[in-house]
Amino acid sequence: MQHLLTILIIVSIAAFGGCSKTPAEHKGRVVVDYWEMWSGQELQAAKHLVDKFNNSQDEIFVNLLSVSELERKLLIAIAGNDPPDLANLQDSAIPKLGDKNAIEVIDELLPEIGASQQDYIDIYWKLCSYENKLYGLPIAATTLALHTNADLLKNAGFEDVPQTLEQLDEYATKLTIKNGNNFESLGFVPTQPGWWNFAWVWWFGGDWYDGKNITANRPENVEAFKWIQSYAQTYGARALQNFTSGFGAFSWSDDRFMTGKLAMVLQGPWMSKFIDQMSPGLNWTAEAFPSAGGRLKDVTLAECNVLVIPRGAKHKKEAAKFIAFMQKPENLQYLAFKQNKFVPLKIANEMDYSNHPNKNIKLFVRLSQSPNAYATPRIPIWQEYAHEIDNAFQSVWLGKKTPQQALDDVQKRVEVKWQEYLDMKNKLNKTR
Amino acid sequence: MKKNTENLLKGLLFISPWIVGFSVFQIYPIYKSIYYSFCQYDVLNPPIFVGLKNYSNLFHDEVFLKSIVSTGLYTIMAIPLSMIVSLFFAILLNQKILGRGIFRTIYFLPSLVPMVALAILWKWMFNGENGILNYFLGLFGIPGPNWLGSTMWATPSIVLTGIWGVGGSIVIYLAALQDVPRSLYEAAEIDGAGWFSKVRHITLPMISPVIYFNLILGIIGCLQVFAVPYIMTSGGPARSTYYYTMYLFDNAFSFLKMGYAGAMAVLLFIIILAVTFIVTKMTASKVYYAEK
Repeated sequence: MQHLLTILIIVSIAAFGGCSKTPAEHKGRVVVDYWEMWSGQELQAAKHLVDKFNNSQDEIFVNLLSVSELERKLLIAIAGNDPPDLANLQDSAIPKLGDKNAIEVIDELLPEIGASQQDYIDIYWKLCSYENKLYGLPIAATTLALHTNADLLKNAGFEDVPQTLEQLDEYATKLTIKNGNNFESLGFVPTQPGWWNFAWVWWFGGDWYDGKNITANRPENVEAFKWIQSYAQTYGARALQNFTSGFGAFSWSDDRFMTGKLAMVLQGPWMSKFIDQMSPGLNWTAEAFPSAGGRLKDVTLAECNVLVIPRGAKHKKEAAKFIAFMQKPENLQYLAFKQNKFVPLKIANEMDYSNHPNKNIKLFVRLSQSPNAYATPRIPIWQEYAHEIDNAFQSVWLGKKTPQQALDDVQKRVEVKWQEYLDMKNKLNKTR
Repeated sequence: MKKNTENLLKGLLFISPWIVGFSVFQIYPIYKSIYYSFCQYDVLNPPIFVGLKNYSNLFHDEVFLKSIVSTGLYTIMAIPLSMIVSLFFAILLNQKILGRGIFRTIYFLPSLVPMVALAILWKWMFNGENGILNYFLGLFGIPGPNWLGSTMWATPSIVLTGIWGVGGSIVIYLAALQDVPRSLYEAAEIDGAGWFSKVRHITLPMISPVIYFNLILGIIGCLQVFAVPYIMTSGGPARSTYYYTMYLFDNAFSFLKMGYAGAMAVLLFIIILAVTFIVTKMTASKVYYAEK
C-alpha cells in the first residue's frame, strides 16, 4: 500500500507539476496568490488595483483569481495546507474562520501595514475582529436602506417617505393594486429581496445574541415575526408568493422594483448601479428604513468585505504589503466608487462624492455610524443559526407556525448547538 | 513461478489502476468517514473522539428525522412513477413503427442534459406566475399552484423533474425487451392472446431481472437525491424538500461538522443496505432467471 501511494504521488506530481503558477515574466518576483469572491464589475475594479500594485514595484506579483463559493474552497485549501496568500471574504465569515484558526491574526502586522483602529468607522473594524483579535482589514463597506419609487408614492398621494414602520404598512396597503385574485403591483413585502430574513428584528429593537446567550425568542423578535406574518395574512401568502416568484433574479431586467411593480424595498448602495443599467429613468430615493413606532433612528445592517491572510499562507509579509496598498485611501476610494459602495474609513464623512455613481451614498455612510447599525452576530455558529432563522421565517410566512412557536423552536435548537460548540471549544483548549 | 501465480500477478497488474483508484478514492474515504463518525471534527482542528455521541444526537435531531421522512416520501412517489413511465415508453419504442430510431433518440435526449441545467430549466417551468405549466393550466381555467413555493407541491414537482431523466432506464428496458424470444409471442398469438395479456404474461416476467435492477438502482438514486432539489428549492419551503443528503452536505461543508455528517453517511449506507435486502427478499419469487 505504501508503495502504491508513493507511485500515485509521483505520477500526480509528474502530471500536474507542470502547471506552474508563475508566468515566465514574473520570475524573480514573489508571487502572492489572491482569491477574490467577486466576479463581473466588482472583479474588474479589484483587477485594476492589482495591476496598479504589480506595476508599482518589481518584488511582488499579485496573482488575482476569481473563485466561486470562496469560503468553502478556502477551508479545503487550508485543511490541505495549500491556501492562497490572500483572500477577500464576507465579514460574516470572520468569527467562524477566526475561531477555527483558519485565518491569521494580523494585529502584529498593523504597524507594517500602517493601519490604525482610530482611522476606521467603528463597526467595520469590529466586523474584522473576533474575540479582540483582528483577522483582516475592511475594503468595501455597505449598509441597507429603504429604496422607494418616488413616482409611485407621489401618484398615491404620498409626499414623503414613511417615517415609522406603521406608516410603511399604510403606504404598502395603498400602493398595492389587485386585479381579481392577482396583484398588479405591490407596495412592500418583507420577503423581497429575501437576503436578510434575520435582519428585520433590529427594526423592532430585537437581536439574536446578547454577547453571551442565544436570544432568538425575545419579545422584540416575536413582534418582528408577527409583523412579517401580518403581510402574509393581509395579502394572502399564496397570492404574494405567486407574484414574487415571478420576480426575476435581482440583476435581471424584470426585477419588480426596477419595473415599477414593487414600490418599496430594502436594499444596499449597489442598487443604484442596477437601476442605472436596467431602468435608467426610474425616479427613486433612499432613506433610512423606518423602525417600529419610529422608536429607533437609522437602524441598518452594516456589511463589508475583508482582506484576510489564510493560515499556512507562504508569503504572509508580501500579502501584508498588498493589504497595506489596498488600505491607502485613494485605492479604497477607487474600489468603493467602482463597486457602488463606500470606504470604511472615518474620512468617508468628508469625501467628495460628486463622482460617486450613487447619488444617495452619503445616506449609507451616515447609517454606518449610527448607534443602531447592526452586524450579523459575532458567533462562529452563525451560519447554522441563520439557517434555522430562515426556516422559521418560511414557516411563519406560510402560516405553518405562530411567530412564538417558530422562534421558540429556533431558540431550542440553537441553544443545543451553542452548548455543543462551547463544550467542543473547552475540549480543544484542553488538548492544545 | 507457477502458472497460476503468474496469471494472478498479471491479472493484478492489469487491474492495478483500478485497485489504486478504488483504494485511494473509495476505501480510504469510507474508512475515514466511519472513523470520523465517532469524532467531533471540523477539518481544521484535530478530531476529538466522542464515541457514539454523533449517533445518539442524530436520533434527537428533529431535522434529521424530518429529512428521513421527506426522503422516504420522495422515494415512494418517484420510484413507481419513474418505473411505470420508463417501462411504458420502452414498450412503445419497441413497436415496429416508422421513424423508431428518431423517437428513441428524442426520448433519450433529456437524460443527456446536465442535472444543473435540468433543474434551472424546470425551475422556470414551475414558476408560479410566468411558468409554462401554470400558463397551460390557465388555458383550461385551472389556477396552478406555486409549485416550488408550496410545502404540498414542492416534492411532487421535484419528482416530475426527475421523470425527465428516465431515458437511461428506457434504454436498459429496450435492450431487455429485444431479448425476449419472438417464439413466445408467436405461441401466445396462436393461442389467441391479445396485446395486454402478452405484456402481462410474457414481457413482464421475461424482463423481470431488469425491472428488479432498475428498481434497486432507482431506490439507491432516490435516497441520495441531491442536485435537483439543491438548485430548485434549496430544501425549502419550510424544509419540505430538505432531503437526507442535503442535510448531510450542509453539516459537512456549511457547518463543518464532519463527524456528524460522517455518522449520517454511515447510517445512510445501512439504510440503503437494509432497503435493498428487503426489496430483494420481497421480489425474489417474482424475478425470473432462465437458467433456474
